Amino acid sequence: MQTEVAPPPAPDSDIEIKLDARKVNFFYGDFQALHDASLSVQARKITALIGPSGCGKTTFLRVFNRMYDLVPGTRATGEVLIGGHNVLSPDTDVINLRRQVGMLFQRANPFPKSIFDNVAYGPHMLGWSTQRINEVVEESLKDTGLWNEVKDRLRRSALNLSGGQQQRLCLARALAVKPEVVLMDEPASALDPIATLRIEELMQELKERYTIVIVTHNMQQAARASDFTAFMLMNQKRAGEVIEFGPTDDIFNRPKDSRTEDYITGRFG
Amino acid sequence: MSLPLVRLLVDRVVGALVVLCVMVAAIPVLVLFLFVIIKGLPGILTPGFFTDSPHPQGVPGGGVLNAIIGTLEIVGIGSLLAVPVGALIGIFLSEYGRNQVGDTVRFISDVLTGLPSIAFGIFGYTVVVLTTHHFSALSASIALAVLMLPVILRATETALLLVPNALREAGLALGAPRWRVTLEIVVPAALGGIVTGALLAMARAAGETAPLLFTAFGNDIVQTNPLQPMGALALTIFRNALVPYPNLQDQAWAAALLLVILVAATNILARVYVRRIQR
Amino acid sequence: MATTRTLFDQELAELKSGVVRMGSMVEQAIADSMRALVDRDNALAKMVIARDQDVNELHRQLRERAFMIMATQQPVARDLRLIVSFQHMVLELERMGDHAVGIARAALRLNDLPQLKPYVDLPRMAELTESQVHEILGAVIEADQDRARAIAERDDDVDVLYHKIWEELLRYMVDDPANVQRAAILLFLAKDLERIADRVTNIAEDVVFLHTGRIVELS
Repeated sequence: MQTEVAPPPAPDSDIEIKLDARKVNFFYGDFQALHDASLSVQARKITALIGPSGCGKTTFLRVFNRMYDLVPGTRATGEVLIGGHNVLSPDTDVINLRRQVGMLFQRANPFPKSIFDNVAYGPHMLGWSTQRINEVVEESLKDTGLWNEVKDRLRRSALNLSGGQQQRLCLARALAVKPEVVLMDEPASALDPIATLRIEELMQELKERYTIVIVTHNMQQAARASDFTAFMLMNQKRAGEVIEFGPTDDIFNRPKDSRTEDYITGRFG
Repeated sequence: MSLPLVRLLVDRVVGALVVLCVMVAAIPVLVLFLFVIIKGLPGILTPGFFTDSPHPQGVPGGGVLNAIIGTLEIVGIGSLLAVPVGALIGIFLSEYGRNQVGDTVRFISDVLTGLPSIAFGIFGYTVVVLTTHHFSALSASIALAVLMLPVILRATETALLLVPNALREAGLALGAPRWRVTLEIVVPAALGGIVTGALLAMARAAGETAPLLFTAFGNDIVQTNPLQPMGALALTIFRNALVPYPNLQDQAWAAALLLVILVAATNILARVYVRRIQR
Repeated sequence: MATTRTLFDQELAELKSGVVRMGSMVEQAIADSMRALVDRDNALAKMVIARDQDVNELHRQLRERAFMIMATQQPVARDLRLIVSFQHMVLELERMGDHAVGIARAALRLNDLPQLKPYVDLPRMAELTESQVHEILGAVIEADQDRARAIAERDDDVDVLYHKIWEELLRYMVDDPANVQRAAILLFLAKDLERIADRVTNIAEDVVFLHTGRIVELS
């Protein structure tokens, strides 16, 4: 029993939908993990996915860049439209998709290489010139606020950075290939409060150029940092569903669904 | 007696037992080392040990130059064969081998590890010596290569499996194809383990005797043609141990000491290397 | 539904009962102050003035508690709307208490003077106002926004009476300068009643906000 998800906003020349997920169903073998999940992600806005553990928000996120391809026995039905093309279809260039749709993970995972080589890896793989690579590395590190901290030790190992710095480095690495959408899977959950706030500040700056979708179990973070919020829950058959989706201001002031309100006020049984 | 006191006593007793066990385990090794050092030192210090080839039996003097060069060359060629092949198989097993093919390869590798080393010698003899009608260093190298293969293969696979999956995900999420992720991210991250595995396999091969008996066969003169029979330290020890000439027996002990030093040095080198790249 | 925030719920319940308690105190003060005027009872008037201290103290406590809850419990959605509405209501109630004190002081001054005229409309206006106050407190307890809207609409009745009283007192002042002092005091007293009724409308708006999250001008 699912309340109607808020219909996407009326077509408006000001509103651009960057990523449109329509009735996505996801299966691990026979087990259904997502049921008819839909989401309209607006361009250059931050959309947050919230919900209790196991509600499928990370699963949903990973459908957007086909990361589930790596796990045998998984399949997804439905559509995820990016640039008018359904990325779930078998003829999608998955490699290019993952360049266009970048991902930041829960725990920072820099390569055991130098700081420079980490950020340069994507561009290097795309065959860009050395000059362009140098420019992009500097740009990306500046965009994530790391440049001043690391410009004198670009050739040193990335593993010597602090946790917050490593996560920002991973973000710079993802941005270096100039994606359009950045997916963030609980990016600050392993960080201390100050590092967390820095990431959130970064997100506000980055959203002028990038579309961001963030999964978070920290409700205050979703309320603080996002423009739109989607609330997900596991249904009786343990498949995740989108219960409510709308502007963050509305969700946190006057949610339409009582389940949403119970969750965000912490009254969740 | 009060409980804390009992606990303290038991703690001390068990601690003492553990130390005793360590000593029991370590003492034979130490005794062996000391024995080899004491027995081998005179031979090593004899002038000509490193520079001369063996003299005919009964003639005093001589050295093991032929054997040193032989061991280095046979193990060297064997490594050139085993390391790339073993590493590649290991990479395959770790990244693409989570299936029946991979399991079969692993099973065969485990069986090979358990084979007595003379079996590899017979393999080399049958495949190379009988067909070329020659004893040769090459046949020994091939025998040793097959011996080293499972060790390198398993070490490589283990090293790669130890690389956290998060790194693979990070590479793939950037839009890198699988082969790039494997070669440019995972393998460099596992390099320490792979190199260590290779070094240890080489050290083991250097000490093997049985595979060399009827492949390299041995040679008392210095010669570097791999298609001809060649000497080796292990062979020198084997043969000189049984002859009644004191100078040759001394050389056997000294060769044993040299081998021990070689193996120990390789092990230390491997550890130092791992520590260096972890920084 | 099961709740995982029993302490928080308790605090919210205590806050609400504090608001209701303050409402009754203010309700009583209004009734007593009018009684002090009509019965010419100075002792009662003085008691109203003294008891306003308690009202102010309760106001202070409730404001502080509401703030503390917000700082420590990070309320959102309906919890936040609840606390914010209560804070506002409590402010309105405190002002109402001040108006009741104004009426009591006016009574004290008038009781020393001969009564200007029989009090007819003023008690009627007071009755209406007191009824409004009582009703809105009921709407707060029941969290009933429809009832609150209905109460806000009846504010017009109070206004009509207020204008009638004004015109009558103005005539008294024009007829005889000796009436001016008492008439003026009565004018301000009527003003106090009118302000109380206005604040009832404000509280009604708070009840609506509690439900809808929207600030709506009522009446």
